Amino acid sequence: MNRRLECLGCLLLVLIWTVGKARAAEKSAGELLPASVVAYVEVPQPAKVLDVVFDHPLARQLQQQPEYKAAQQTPQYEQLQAAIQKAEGALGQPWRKAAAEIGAGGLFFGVDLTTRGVVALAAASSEAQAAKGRDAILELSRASAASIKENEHRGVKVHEIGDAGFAAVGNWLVASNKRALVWQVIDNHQGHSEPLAGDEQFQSVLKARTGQPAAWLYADLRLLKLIPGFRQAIDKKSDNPPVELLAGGIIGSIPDAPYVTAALDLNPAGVKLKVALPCKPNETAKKREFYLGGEARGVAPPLLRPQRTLLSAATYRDFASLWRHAPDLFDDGINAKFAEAESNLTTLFAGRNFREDILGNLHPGMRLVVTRQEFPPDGITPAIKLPAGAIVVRMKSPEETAKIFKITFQSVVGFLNVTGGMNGIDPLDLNSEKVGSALIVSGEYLPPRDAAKRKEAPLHYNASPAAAFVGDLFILSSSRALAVELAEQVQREAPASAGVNSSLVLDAAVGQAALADNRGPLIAQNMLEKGHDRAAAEQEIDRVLALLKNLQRSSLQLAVKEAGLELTLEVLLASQP
Amino acid sequence: MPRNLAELTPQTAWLPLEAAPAFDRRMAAHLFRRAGFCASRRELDEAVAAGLTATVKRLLTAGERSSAFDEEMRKFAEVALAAGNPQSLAGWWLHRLRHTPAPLVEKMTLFWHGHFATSAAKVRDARLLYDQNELFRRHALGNFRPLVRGIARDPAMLLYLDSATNRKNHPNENFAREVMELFCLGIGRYSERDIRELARCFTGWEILHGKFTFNTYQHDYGTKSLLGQSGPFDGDDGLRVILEQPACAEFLCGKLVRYFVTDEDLPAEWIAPLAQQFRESDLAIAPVLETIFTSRLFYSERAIGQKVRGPVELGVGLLRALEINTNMIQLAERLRELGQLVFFPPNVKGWPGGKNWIDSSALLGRANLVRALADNIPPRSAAGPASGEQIDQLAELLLAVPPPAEVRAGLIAQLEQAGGMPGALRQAVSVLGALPEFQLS
Amino acid sequence: MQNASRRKFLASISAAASAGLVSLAPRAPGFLLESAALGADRPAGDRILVVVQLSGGNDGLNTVIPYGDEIYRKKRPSLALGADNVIKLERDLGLHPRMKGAETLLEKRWLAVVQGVGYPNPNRSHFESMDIWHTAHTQPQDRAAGWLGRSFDAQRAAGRGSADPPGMHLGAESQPLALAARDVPSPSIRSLDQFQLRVDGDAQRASAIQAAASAPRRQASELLKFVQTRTTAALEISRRITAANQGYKTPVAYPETELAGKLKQVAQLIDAGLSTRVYYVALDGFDTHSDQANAHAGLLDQLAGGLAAFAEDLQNHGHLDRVVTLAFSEFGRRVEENASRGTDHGAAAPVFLVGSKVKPGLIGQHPKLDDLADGDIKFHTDFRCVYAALLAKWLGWPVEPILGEGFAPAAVLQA
Repeated sequence: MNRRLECLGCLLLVLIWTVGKARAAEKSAGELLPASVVAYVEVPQPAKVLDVVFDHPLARQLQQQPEYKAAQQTPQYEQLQAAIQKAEGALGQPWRKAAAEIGAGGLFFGVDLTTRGVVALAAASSEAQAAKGRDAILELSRASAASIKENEHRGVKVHEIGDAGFAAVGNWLVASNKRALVWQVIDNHQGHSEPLAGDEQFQSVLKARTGQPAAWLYADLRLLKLIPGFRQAIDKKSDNPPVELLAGGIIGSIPDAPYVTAALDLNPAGVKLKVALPCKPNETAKKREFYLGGEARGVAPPLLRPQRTLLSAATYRDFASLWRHAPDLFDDGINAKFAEAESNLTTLFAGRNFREDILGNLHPGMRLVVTRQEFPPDGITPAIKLPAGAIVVRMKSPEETAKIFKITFQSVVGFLNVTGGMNGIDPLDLNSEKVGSALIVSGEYLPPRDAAKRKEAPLHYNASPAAAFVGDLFILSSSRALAVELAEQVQREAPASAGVNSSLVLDAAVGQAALADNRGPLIAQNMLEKGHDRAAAEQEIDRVLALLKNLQRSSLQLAVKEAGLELTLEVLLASQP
Repeated sequence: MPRNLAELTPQTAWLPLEAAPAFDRRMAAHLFRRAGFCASRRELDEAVAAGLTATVKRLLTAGERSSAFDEEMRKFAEVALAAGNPQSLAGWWLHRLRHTPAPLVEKMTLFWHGHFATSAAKVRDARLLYDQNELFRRHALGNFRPLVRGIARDPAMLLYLDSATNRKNHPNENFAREVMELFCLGIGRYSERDIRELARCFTGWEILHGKFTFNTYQHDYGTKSLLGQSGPFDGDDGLRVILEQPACAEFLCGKLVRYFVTDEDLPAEWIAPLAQQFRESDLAIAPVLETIFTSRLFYSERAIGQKVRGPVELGVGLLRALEINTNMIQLAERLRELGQLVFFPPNVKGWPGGKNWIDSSALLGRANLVRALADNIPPRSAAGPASGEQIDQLAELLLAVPPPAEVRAGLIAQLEQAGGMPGALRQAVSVLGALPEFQLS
Repeated sequence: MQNASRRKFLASISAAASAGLVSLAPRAPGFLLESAALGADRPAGDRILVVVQLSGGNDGLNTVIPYGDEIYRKKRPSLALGADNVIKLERDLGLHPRMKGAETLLEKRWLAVVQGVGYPNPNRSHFESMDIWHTAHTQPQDRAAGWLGRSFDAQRAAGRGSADPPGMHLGAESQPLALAARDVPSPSIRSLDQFQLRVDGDAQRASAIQAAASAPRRQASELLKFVQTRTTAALEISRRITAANQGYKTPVAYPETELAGKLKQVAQLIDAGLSTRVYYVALDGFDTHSDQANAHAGLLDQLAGGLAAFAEDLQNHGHLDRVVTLAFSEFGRRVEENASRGTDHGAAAPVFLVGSKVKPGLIGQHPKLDDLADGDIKFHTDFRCVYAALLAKWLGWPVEPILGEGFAPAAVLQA
């Protein structure tokens, strides 16, 4: 078993190296792959991908890490090195050079439904190159595999190792963990069978494609739905509210979607992944109104951008609707928990029914923001500096709901003071103030009794909980300063952009700074979690902080269009010095 | 070879070991297992080179040379305390136990923690427990008298015993009872009346905002008669009377012998010479420990392998012996499963120890803990010693009693067979850790 | 099925014993005796008590429901359940409709419902009242050890210690005071993993460890012999639990609830042959001050379903006649519902006992709703009388040193 895996590994490696040049091969990958392929992946210029990944300054930096160097000492790494050397011997040149010189020919993968196998195709620059690649695989396999059989299929030489097989077919090098797939490719090469390219949907999707991504995926969901149990698994009531909340609308759209595509852009400045799911969002919205809104018109409110924003997220979610439809969305166990939570939360909200009177009085949509906190030099500074966070929601009837929220906020502060008193935590001093047209109620912890603790204050000094009311907006924040800033900002913000259901941005530079604020605690944490002595812990933390400087910004967006859902993930790297 | 038990009497047991059996590696390993948390190979080398007397001296005085480490630990504790939970404080202590240059100080701090047991399950305030821990450390090898006076004012202790207030009209007997029963004299050495009288001495001793205060309005200034003495005693007078009882030295030395020498309860006449010395040195701890660690009894078959390892000794000892590190928070959690989470003793009597450590869940937990900790052993280098030598070294560091020859042979064969596999050494350690011998100290 | 598994178990014991691997002295006699006189009662030393704590204060009045009572309907305008809904018992009483599992238990005569259980001068604080149930002391002084913990201490002091801890708590919450003892610690475990030797699926290593641990020791000290005996016994338990875990053979489908999951683990521990006498689990969430109906129904469903599956499973493995399960809550709730469709802290309430040796059906009168104390149901059975019955008649342990005088065992078990 292990041997076979090793073979497959070598096989794939060699495939990457022996990619041929895109000299017009007589048939395309789609024409060679069997019609029963459900997922198709295309890497048009593998050499370029290798260049971006291996020559990136970040990769160099990672190779300097002690963990990487330690991994180089392991026997596994040595085995890998030996295999690479062997392959290079067979190829007659260094592997990167081989790939780079041969140039962009294209690398293709297909996941086959009937055989449950994966097939890889490489378009070589010539028949000779394809044969050279095959011989390199053969060379490597001889070292590790027990028995390699040589057979013929329609006059083409096929090497078989157990279930797996590989062959050179014209300009193509073909390998699969199921030899039957290799045979099918040969069949297609000679025009004896039905190829993936014969599928109309595949053809039209391929045609409509724009741009030149580093990698492109197409998966046929019609076929997937033929797998017994697939539909049931999708339709089954959820037992996981967070997953439902984050992805319910996407999961719910899959049964209607004929296919999904994903395009990956790769360049030295970052990575961008775009996933498109064509479907009828307004159909999905019938069951998951909470996620997409009525007729799938739900729009996320604009992102909040206070100073030192670490993370900002905005999403259209109708929590009242989610709660009301819980019996249709979730299984019995979760519904029992909803019932229990409703009972408890109703007690908390002064006897108002949580589902109807609290959630029911909120407009759909929720915003969340996390910022790095600054502590004034003359004030109290906690030993561990946590970011501040706030959520913003809109009330339907502010005159009534605002009161309930205010009272609840006050009772929570009172409750915290009582329990805090029992646990030796200083009390919160409750204040109420007008800032412009906003009313802000906030609690501030009394300074520590011991003046020496002001610069190394306990954790709870990170918080000065605040509730702000601005028109119909309600802001609940862990810090008064953030509440004040947001209260001002929301009054002059741009309207939400249509078609965006959810978006999230993460500023890694701020995150790095927030971590660096806590260098001391992080070192202590490292001492606790790794057991290192102080010197080793300091080194490790400083290395991690330096590495994190490479990340700049990430964002995630879910757009709802008439034709379907589109998910975009972007990770940007800091420009290199 | 260590002395035969039959040759020892209560009179000779505590005499210094004769020069005859040289201080060898097995004896040094025994000393470090008991007076610390196992020795590393380097520590064994040094100990054997220095000899018994010098090694014991060094253990007793290491705390005087560790100020840089102490300061580092203080800073570390501030951060651990900022998280506010006692579990991270437990992780902090385990880290300190693992890295301390003064293992005997920590071993005694752990002894006092079990002796004056106070649990975070009730006290909750990690800082108070930290302050108490520092009190134990400060007096770890010092004098029993100031330690007791300190603990009588210790906020964590008084909160734990519901004695944060003590009013003259309703003297609180909890602390007074434990002072006599568990801390100083032992059960049966006092009367119920003595408890009531001692409680009166402590009236007005209060904890306010986590600090000790004396409330003069609540103190009973009347005459108390305690254990045959009488006067207008305050708390310190009461403690003085108690510490003057001859039973005090017997009681404490008995506990020290159980902690350091053998789980077996030795008859009173075996304790008497130590108690005598303890009284003569005016309740100083270090001289008694020096006597114990250089004694004939300590290196006899009556002591070696005659204690069940406590979970903390086992976990920290393995880390120190093999010079490896691990996640201390997780280690604390695993030690909880084995019945010894520091800062969380089960009740005011502390951990009962001895055979009580051993039940099915704890034994399997011990084997699993060793297996998990062994993951931190670096891969075996090809240039290392031969398999037989390596197994013998491990056994020397980790086991008080050598394994049977066939088990040793099996381990060597296994290590030999696993050869260069990165997990070979780890596997050997995990098997060693499941042996009955491994549970003994 | 039952006999076959018993035979297998006996075979494994004798094989292990003859191989010199395991000392099963504390356990074997019970089983052997029982197999010799099949059908005879188990000796008390073999019997087990499982405690299910319902934390938060279970609404007894909507658990055992006086559906015919005018006062009940009047005081519970939104929460009252009518005759059409309840699971009918005798005398105009019924169980909550979601307690389907209890219906099964009643049919099999495995369920006793002891009504009106409480204590004088009821305390309505969760902590205080729970402490009272845990310590069986109504006065605040001396709440250092629990009623079970004190019993463990007394057993050990009388020289009747056991190889395994006498009490064990399963769950992530902190250990209940009931198990706290001055001398005998009870472990709190989160899952069965703690009873299994981890060898990363390497059977060879498991057998290497087993062989190394059980290899004969020449000149072993008493202490080493002791540890070796315990080690081989522990490895044997681990082996059995691991085997049981890899498809614990039970035809019983436990509901997928937290409580049922815990009870299943208890069943596995019992079946593995630990000498533990008391297992303790808790189910939280009964503090239903508002919108009680759905939340309470879900909890009762979980409770009844879990208990029924557990009893069925024990029966299948031949342990039901040596296990009694007690389910109690720190207090019931007030007769009158509050303005948030919930109920507030009350006093007396029913407790449940499950097992084939309990006196099945309703025990004691349903408390009268026209004779309340300060708006609360009056108790007629002191909970310590239930404890007394479990200590004296089930576990075979002395009562008076633990509970004090004046608590005659309630008639809740079969004579």
